[in-house]
Order: sequence, then structure tokens, then C-alpha cells
Amino acid sequence: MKRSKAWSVLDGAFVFIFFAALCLVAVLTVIRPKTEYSFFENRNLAAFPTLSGDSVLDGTYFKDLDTYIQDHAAGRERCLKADMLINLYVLHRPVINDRIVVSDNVLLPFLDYAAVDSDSINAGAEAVSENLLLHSEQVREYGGELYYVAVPCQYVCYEDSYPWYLNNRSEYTEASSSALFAKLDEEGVKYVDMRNVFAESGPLPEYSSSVDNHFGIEGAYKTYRAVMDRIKEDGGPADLILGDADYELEYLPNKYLGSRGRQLFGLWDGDEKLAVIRPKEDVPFERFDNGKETAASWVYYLPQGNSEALYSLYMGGDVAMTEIRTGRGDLPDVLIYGDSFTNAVECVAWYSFDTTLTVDFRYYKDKTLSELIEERKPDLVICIRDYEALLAPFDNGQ
Amino acid sequence: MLFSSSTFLLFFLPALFILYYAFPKKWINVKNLILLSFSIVFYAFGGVRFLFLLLASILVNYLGGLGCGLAVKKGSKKTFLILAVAVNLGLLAYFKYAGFFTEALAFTGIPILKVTLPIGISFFTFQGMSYVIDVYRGDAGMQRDPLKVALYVSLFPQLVAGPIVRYTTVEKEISARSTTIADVSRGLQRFILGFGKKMLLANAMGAIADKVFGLTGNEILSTPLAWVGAIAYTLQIYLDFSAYSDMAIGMGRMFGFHFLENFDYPYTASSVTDFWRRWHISLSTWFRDYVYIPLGGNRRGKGRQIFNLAVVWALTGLWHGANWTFIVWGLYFGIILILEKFVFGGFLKKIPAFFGHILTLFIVIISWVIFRSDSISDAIRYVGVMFGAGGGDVRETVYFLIEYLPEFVLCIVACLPLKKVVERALGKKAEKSRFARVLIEIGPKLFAAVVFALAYLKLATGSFNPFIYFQF
Repeated sequence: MKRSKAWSVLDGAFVFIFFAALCLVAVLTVIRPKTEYSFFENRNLAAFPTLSGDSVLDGTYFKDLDTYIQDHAAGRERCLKADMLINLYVLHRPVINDRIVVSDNVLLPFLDYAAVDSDSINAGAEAVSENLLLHSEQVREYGGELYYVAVPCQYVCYEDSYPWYLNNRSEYTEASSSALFAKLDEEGVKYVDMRNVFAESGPLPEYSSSVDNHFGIEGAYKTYRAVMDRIKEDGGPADLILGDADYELEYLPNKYLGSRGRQLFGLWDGDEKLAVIRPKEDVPFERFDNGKETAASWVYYLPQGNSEALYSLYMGGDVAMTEIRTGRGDLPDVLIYGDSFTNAVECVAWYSFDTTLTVDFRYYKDKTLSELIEERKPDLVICIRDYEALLAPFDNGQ
Repeated sequence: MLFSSSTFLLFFLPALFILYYAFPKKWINVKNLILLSFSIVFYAFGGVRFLFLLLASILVNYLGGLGCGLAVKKGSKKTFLILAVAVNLGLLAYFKYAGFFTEALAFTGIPILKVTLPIGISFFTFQGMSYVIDVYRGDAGMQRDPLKVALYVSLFPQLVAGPIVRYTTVEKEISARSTTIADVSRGLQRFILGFGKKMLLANAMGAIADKVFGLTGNEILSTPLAWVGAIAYTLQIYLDFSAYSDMAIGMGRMFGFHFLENFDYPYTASSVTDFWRRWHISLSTWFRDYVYIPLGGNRRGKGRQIFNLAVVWALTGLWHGANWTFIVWGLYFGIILILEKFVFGGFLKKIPAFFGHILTLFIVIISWVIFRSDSISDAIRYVGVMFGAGGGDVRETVYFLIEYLPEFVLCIVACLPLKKVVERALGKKAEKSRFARVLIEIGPKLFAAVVFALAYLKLATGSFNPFIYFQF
């Protein structure tokens, strides 16, 4: 059968459109201004590779060039969003990008299926409790006290929201927390388990975010109160506590994106809002980030206009070392250390202390915890660890 | 350079296409020069240092072909052939196997060599050798123009991952070829289908296989999960490799070359013998024509034939890589093929075809476990788990099945000759039905457009991307 000429025209059009589209994307890729940072992916995009004899010979230059083109291809972010939309709303994948579990109006982390190893849990609990005992003894030597605070991270609060075939790590959560708390009891290290405290006050999800690993200000305040109450109960220096009647809780109108919502390019329909707590009493303070005084006059970094709120609302995000000085010498000094969960707690905790020094040892490397305790001799040392990091002996688990 | 990379798609391919078709048909030497230049650049992307090896291989084969073609005496021809084959195999032995053999002989005290494997060496070495052997045998004409030999060996679509193109297949097209817009369009559609197979299906299966085969000691490999991993790898290796062949064949056609098919729906085979008629056809026919038949094939008695088959399959395994797993994989197939030929052949013909398909698939899946494993002990452990030596936790298995359900379904569809069936059905109706004629013309283009759009999204996400056969 003879082929009609019209089909040849169609063939030509097909080939032309294909190559014209590729050429257009290529030209746009070359000429359009480049950005260095991808907000939704929360990473720096590849830089143009540096030419060298070795890199050309071994191929790394071309590999890096390929990565650069990949990262800066025109329309890349639109493609990423389109792919995400397909995964979310067309294919309804239970797990997006092997990382985010979409379930029951909540975005949770995908947890691997590692078996619970009692031996390694016991060894981890022993190592962490020994570290804490050393620090605790160091603080007690000059009359202070160390409190260890375990806060449930999102997957612990939302255990029941995982589909049955996904791991919610409940077995590990129970085994690791039991092992650690037993050791802390044995060693006489004072601790507060916020999972129990939260559970006594209501369902755990109420104290967690649906789109982020961290709690919001409500959970942070509850944590602050539980610790302060415990200090007071122990006869420690907890003279000024921000009580329920002493603050105003204000919800921001902005949608809370959260780290998980951010990984889904803001395409997930969530309606969570973040809140801030403002003490009714005006207490002036000076804030120092990494030793330098900042212009910040508040502990909250409010989102601009209608833009989505992020967890960095609290204290501006992770800072290696933050110090808040209120100039109230009659109040105790505190050293708080831990991961990002400390950020929201700091926003209320500073109210009770003369000086609040917060250190995140993931970023702060100048001195060890022992050296800082030795140097500052704070009245209180508070270690805040989330359940996922309970047995991690590095950084803030040192 | 990867076919499935932004650099290739956005810059290399359009630039080559525009430049190539900027010159009239009769300027074939200019077109060849353009193709050769781009092929060299394509290879250089993997590291310029290995370009010298490719050029050396081209030179050796060009001179070998020249020697075999020009020598008058048979002995002289043979000398040129032996020299060329020896240099080819010597390069392959050094760059691909030196580390493996020195490691195996480490007990003798010889130092272990660490040599980086040049990309595509197995493919271009075999292509080059086939040219010299064909000229020696008189099956192909000697090529006096070194650029044409260079183009044959280095032609980028098949340079780094096949198919292994015989010189006789493209001999005429290197010197004179014409392409119609229909050829370009069909070649492009084939390329896009390969691109889609790779980005949408093979990579998804690869993600599962890598996760399951890479489980560490603390993670549990259960029996159902082991099967899911093995099946995922079975699908990945076919879809990945056949995708590359589709892209190579498609691009060849876009530039006027007609490469032979490398796959013929191998997972529909009814026996292992049938499977190897359909899987990596260019490699199995290479070994048949250049090793098995010269060794005597089936002409020297049953014992010798078994020996020949064993040699061919050990070499087939070794060709895939310097690891005992590949040798065992090759011998595994050798033994099964010998058994099919001499013991079970009659039985297989008598049983219903369905059981033949299932049995073949089972044998093939086990073979890919050996092939995918890092060591023989890993393979034994994995196969052991498949047959009950693992736990029975089904959660992760269910997760993979639900998460990748669309891909699993599409992978199975892609393994079946549905395209052939549809084309045949429409072809029959096309005589009478205008709708069928329209569908034959427009359908594949629309399908290709949708596949390309979806595959490009995956490319943009930068997901899992290596081609398996690059390592061979």
C-alpha cells in the first residue's frame, strides 16, 4: 500500500517539533539567569565545573558539566512539580521519593525496615547514659543540675497513622527509650520523658506537626513547663515560670509548609498553622548568634506577607550557638543543647533565665560540652533529644 | 555520555542532527566526518584518557583489515588476523581482566593490578575483531579508508553498550545511505520508546532491585522480598538493556543506518534455547559465528559439541565481567542448554507451552540473581532465601508492590509483544479502514510524545540513571 504524502508531512512535523522543543530548552538553559539554590530541594545547585587537565582526562569535568546542565536545565522546577503532582494525585503513591509517607492528612518520614537489635540498643543506651552521667557529675560539682529531656519526634506521635505495611518503628521506639531510661534511672541522671507528659495531656499528634518532624510552640511550651515544674519539684532554681496566664498564643495566618511539605514542593493540601507565644510582660533582651550581637529584637522570624511559614520561624532556624541575655542577675543561667527541637523551646525558655545559652553541637565545634560547662558554670544544663536521636552518641549526644 | 542525560538530549543530539542534515545527501563523506567527530566527543565524555585506547583499537583493526585484504598468501592473511585478534584480546585482557586474574593468582605472590575499566571496551573490541575476521574470511570487503573503519567502530549509538554491529550489516551504509523523513521519524519514535522504557520502567525496577540486593545485615531479607527483588532485577536488566538497544537502533535509523535487532521479547521464550535466540542477539550470534562454529560446532561429535558449548558459555559469562559470578552465570546457562539439547529437549516439546514459559522464566530469574550478586556466596545466600531460608515478614514486599504497582504492570506489558500484535491487527484493517490507517500513522507519534514528556519529567528529577550494560 502506497503511503500518502500527508503522512510524510506529519513525520516532518513530528521530527521538527521534537528538535525545536529540545533546542528551545537548550537555548533557554544557556541564556536564562542561573540560581544557586533550590528552595524546595533545600540544596545548592551544582556550580559550573572548573576545567583542569586531570578532570578532562579522567572524565570528572564532563560528569560535573552534566550535573550542572541537569541542575540548571530550563523548566526543571516545573518538571519536578509536575512529577510530584503525578505521584501525589494521579498515582497516589503511598511514599513519595522514597522519603515521605502520605497518610491520613499527615506527611510522615519513610522509615526503613531494619530489625531491632537489642544488643546494639543496650550498648547505645549505656554509652549515652555514661556520657550524660559524666556531664551531670561535672555540673553537680559546682552546685548545678543537668536535666535530660526526651521529646517524641513526629513518627513517634503518629505511629498509628502509618499503613500496616510501612514501618512505624514502634518496636525500636519502645526498646530504645526503655533501655535508655532504665540506664538513666540506674545512673541517677535526671530526665523528663515528654512522650509520657504529652500522652497524659491528650493524643500525641496534638503535640506534633503534620508536616514537619518537630513540634510547634504548643509542644515546646509543654516541654518547657514540664522541665521547669520538674526543676521546681526537685527544689532547683525555677523561680520564674511563664504560666498559662502569662502569655498570649497567636496563630499566624500563613500556611505552614514544614520540611515535608517543602519536599513535596508545597503541593500537598495541608492547613496547619504555626503559632507564637508572647509573654504579656515585656522583657528586653540582647541576642548573640555565634558570639555576635544580632539586630533581632524578637525570637520569632515571621514569614514575609503571605509566604508559607517554616520551622525557622522559631529562633530563625538552626544556629550553632545563641545567647540571650536579659540582664536579670537574680535569675539562674541555663545552657540548653540539642538539635532543632531546642529552637521552639528557646522561644519560651529564655523568659525564665538571666542568660540562656543554646548550643547545637552539630554545627558548633569550637569547644566540647565539658569545656563549655567548665567555662560558663550554668546553674542548669538541659539536654533536649528527640526519640530518633536518643541513642546517637555523636554531636548533641556527646 | 548517557543517552538519558540532559547534556545528550538538549545539546548533543540536536546539535548533531542539525549539523548532519545541514549538508546534502551526496556529501556523504562530510556527514561521516560529522558523525565520527561527534562519536569521538561522545566517547571522550567518559574521560579523554580512554580515547587513546579507542583510537588504538581502531588503528589495529584498520591495519588488520588492510593486511587481511591485501595479503596474497593465506599464511600472510592469517598472520595479520592473528596479530589483530591478539592485540584486541590483549587490550581486553589487560583492561578488563588483569585485576581479576592477578587477584585470583595472588597466592603465587604476583602483585594485584588495579586497572580502570574503559567504558564500552567489550563492545568496540568485539566489533573491531568481527571486521578483521570477516575481511579474512572474505565475508566483508577490506575498507581502505581509515575514517570509515573509525566510524564503524566508534559510531556513538552502539559504541558503549551495543548492540554489537557487524561490519557486514553497515558496510554499504557507511559509504552510501539515504534517509527519508519517514526513517527519521520512525527512528526518533524508537529512540523515544527506549528513553521511556529506561526512565519510567527500568529505573523504577532498578530502585527496587538495588534496595533489595543491597540490604545490610540489620535489614531483613524475607523470602517474598527476595522474589520481588529478583523479579525487579529481571525486569530491570531487560528493560534497561533493550531500552539502550532501542535508542541505538532508533538513532542509527535517524542517521541512515539499519542495525539488526538485539532483543525479541526474550521473556516470552518457551525454553532456555529459545531465550538465547531472543536475548542479546548480537552477542550470542557473535559467539556462535566467531567461537562456536570455528571450534567445530556440532560437526565433530557429541563430546566435542558439549566441550564447545561449555567454552562458549564460559566465555559469554566472562565477557560480561571479571567476576566469578559471571563465569558461573555463563556456565549455568551452558549446562542448562546442554541438558535441553541432549536430555530434556524431547520432554520440553511434549509439555504444554505454558509450563515451558514458566520453567524458562524461573531458570532465567535464578540466573539474574547469580548475575546481580557481588559474589558466589552472596548468590547462594540470596537463592537460599528465595527458597525459604529467610523470614516471612511481608510488609516491605507489600510496600514495594503497592508503591511500584503501575510500573510492575507496565513492565509486564513492555515484556510482551503487544506492539507487534496491535501493529499486525491494524495492518490487516488498514486496507479497508481509513481509521486504522490514521491510527497506524498518528498513534505511535502521540504515544511517543506522551512517553517522552513523562520520561523527561523523570530525567529532570534526576532519578536513578545508570545503564547496566555500561559496566561491560
